[in-house]
Amino acid sequence: MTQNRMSKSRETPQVRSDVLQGTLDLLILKTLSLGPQHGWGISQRLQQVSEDALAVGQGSLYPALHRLQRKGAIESEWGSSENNRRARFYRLTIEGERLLGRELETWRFFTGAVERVLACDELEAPPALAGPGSDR
Amino acid sequence: MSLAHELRSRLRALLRWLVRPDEDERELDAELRFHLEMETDKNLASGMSPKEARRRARIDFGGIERTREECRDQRGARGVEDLARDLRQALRRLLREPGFSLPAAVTLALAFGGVLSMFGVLSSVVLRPLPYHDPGRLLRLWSAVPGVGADEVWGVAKAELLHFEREASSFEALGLYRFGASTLGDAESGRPDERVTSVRFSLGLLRALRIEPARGRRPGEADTRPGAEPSVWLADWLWRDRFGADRGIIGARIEIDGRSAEVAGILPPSARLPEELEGRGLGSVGVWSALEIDPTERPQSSHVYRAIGRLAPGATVELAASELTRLTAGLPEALPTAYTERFLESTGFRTEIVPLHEDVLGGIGPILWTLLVALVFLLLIACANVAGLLVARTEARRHDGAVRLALGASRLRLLQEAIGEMLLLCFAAAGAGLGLATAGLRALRVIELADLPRVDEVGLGWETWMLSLALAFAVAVALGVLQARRSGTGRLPDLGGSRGALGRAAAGRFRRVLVVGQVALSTVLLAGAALLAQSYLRLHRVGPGFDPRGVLVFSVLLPEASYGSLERVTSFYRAASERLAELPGVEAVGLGSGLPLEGQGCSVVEAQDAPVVTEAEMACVPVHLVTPGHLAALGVAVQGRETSWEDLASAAAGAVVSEAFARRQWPGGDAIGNRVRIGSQAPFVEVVGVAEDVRGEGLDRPPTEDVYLPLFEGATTPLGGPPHRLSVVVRTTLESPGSIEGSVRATLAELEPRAPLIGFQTMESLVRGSLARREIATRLLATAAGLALILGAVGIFGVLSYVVSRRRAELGLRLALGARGSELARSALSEALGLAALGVLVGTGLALWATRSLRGLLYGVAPGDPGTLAAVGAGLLVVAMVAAVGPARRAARVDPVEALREG
Repeated sequence: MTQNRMSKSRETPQVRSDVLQGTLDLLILKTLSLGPQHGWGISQRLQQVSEDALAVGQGSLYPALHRLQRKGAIESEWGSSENNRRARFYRLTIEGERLLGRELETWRFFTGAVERVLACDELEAPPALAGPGSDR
Repeated sequence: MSLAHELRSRLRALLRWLVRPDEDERELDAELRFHLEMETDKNLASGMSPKEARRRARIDFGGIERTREECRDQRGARGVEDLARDLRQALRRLLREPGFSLPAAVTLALAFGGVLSMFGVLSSVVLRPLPYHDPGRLLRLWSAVPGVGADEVWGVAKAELLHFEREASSFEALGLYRFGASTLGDAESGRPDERVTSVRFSLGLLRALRIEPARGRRPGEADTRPGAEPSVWLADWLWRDRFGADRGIIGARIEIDGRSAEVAGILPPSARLPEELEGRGLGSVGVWSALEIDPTERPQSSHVYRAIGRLAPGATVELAASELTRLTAGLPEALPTAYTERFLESTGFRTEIVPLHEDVLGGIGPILWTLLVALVFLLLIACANVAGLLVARTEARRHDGAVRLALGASRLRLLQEAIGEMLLLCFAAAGAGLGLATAGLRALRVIELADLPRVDEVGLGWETWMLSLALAFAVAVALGVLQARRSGTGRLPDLGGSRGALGRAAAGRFRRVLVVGQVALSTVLLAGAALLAQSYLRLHRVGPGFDPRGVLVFSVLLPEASYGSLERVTSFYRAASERLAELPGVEAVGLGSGLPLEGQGCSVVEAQDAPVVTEAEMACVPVHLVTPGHLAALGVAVQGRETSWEDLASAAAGAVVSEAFARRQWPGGDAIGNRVRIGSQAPFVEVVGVAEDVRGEGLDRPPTEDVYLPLFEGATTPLGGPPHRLSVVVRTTLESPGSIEGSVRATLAELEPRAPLIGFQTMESLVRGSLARREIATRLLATAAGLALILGAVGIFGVLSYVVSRRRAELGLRLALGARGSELARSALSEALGLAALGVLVGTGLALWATRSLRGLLYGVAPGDPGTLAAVGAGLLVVAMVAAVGPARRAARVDPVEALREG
């Protein structure tokens, strides 16, 4: 019953803001590049490393994992967790490493551009923006 | 992600789902459960109560069901799980729009039914190999005699074939056989006499066809020797029907044609001769016996046997043909009493081989293929029509599609839905089509189509089922893609109330292309049907040489035991003729050894004072033993006179020959007063009359050279003694001569209760039967063409209505600016005519090429006949005009105020 009610209340605001979807893939790939991990592990790692600034709702994490898996960026197998429970571990594939590289580049380009705009205090001729377009 | 990649991964998901339907779900549940447990553990560690720890974990997690749903989505499993829902929705949509789905389903069902039934016939008749061991190596042998007639073919002669069997190395086995009819009698058990088809075979035939008795002994050399103890092998069906599958029958003696014979064995049900497969009214062979082979017999060129050979391993048809050519050329040397060099030269005599399957088909293969192509054309036209309906409907639903795209529905999703909907439609149509085809083929078997070979093997085999699946799938995907692409062109601006003129222009163009294609295909079908119909009508006008109206025919079989002498036979026939002639409504009665169009043998006839000299050089022509009045009853005009019953008793009996025979034998001379005889030993008979030419082998064949001999000793002896089976021709004044069958039977039963009467039919139905193949082809093609015409007209009507409604604003504006309604109507008409003319033009080009395949069925009209094509084109233009009238009138009646306000 509880589940049902909660699934209906989709718009319930979360306590901590959810990360952007495009960014979530990058974060997962980066986390997995450090070694195989299960879903819960990934969410904990993100939370710890970002010092609680980035909380990933499970409603986004698992779909993202399945999406990445379908894309072939990660693969999974069942193993046993630190406390001897059966858990599904995800691992980066070669394709995933390549994707991580590309996504990182895009991210840096994007944040760099945003930084430059924010750092600009004088009105100049608009800089020619070139590079990967934003995703939609 | 690319569409291809997407489809691939969905396919993978589908496969995984098919193998283990719930594995993914179970794993996902386990994964999420693990997460919750870990979260709970963590909360416990931070000091919460177990209950609180679990509660927090759940709250933090968010909606589990939603997560599950989204994971499923991301995994690509959606397609599978949504399929059922899609189909339900599709069904609902189809039911909600009967204006679209009903005509679409009916059109497709009819078209599928046509294609499937014709394919069913084609696959079981033409594509499936004959039911023999390694049937591809079986060959039929004929003797071609182009010197006698361009298409004239004879059977083979006994001595000739035995010679080939000894000499030819390219055949593993060569066999000959001859059909006959036998009366099975069984006085002791009191069972009635039964008339069955029988066959006499040489041992080579059984080797060629790999026929082995199922019970009893195999026929051996001893059975073929002259004077051998008569032995018979029974066909399986006869053994079951007449002898109750009694195994004790083997070795017992039964009565055949009044003589006693030993039952040496039973043949398996699979032992069937190719002629039985042809199903041309031969019936099933019941009694098999070995052909007598007498080494001392004088070789004769009597080409009355049928022959089948099986190629030796490694031999090819070409090799066999060249070997037979060589052996045929050597016949005068090998069999000098039967063949001379001059005979071979003057007749152009040669031995031809044809693959047995081709021979059984008798040229119907190309006809069936042509009909199948015609029905595929019809299917294409039907698809075009459904596509037209679909485009119109999609236009109406464009808004819907655009909204859904804007709300984030993927194009793939729309495509999936569209294909799902079309799959439902097409599978329903294909199911109905299969039903139609089953019914059609059953009807085909019931009417027996007289002429279709292997008709009892016809059925919907697995090939047809596969084809129905493939067709339904292909059509559904094509239509689905079409619909999705159409609705996919919807852009957001469409939502704003603007009419998206661009997309609609494309839709209009597409429908125009459809119409042109439909008209073109209709032109081809109509042209074919028109050519066939003309041939058919011409053939009906061809004078057959006899008058079939009001004529009833049947056969009478006299028991040989009690009718041994010619006198007995003749007196029965005379009494029968006289008694039947007294029946009310009967004008004339005559009997003869054969009927026109029924297939007839030939005998060598010598004409006195004619240019030909030896027996080997004389033509083999149909010889009919006839009673007085036979030709009068058939309605064949005779110059001179026919022999009367009175003449028969005296020496005044004379022969009648046909004009064609007279022309060839005595060019320029007078036949009457000349003399003819059978072979070179029998006494000559004076020619007393010349009969009108009869087209005995078919209305489309040239007249035969017939000789009609009266029933007298000299004529009957060379033909095997007094005739016990004659066809009776009863000319009546009745509309339906079949109605007197009862009184005919009663009358003859009084004369001879033991004489079976068989094969009652009217002469008109016999004539129709000889045209059955043409008739069925003509009717089928005409039906297809008629449907095509209707669909084409509907297509033109549809596209024009659509164009008019799309241009309402423009038309209204023009009216407001002073244009007259009639001008607008004329412009709509001219648009329709333009489309139709383009279609006719394309179609005529196609028809010029396509109608060539009909050549074998045409009579008196050439494929691509300009008059026919012109008439068909003009007819289609008229139909296009008629179809366009409604929309054109609507164009003229547009209310400018209303139209402009809407615009």
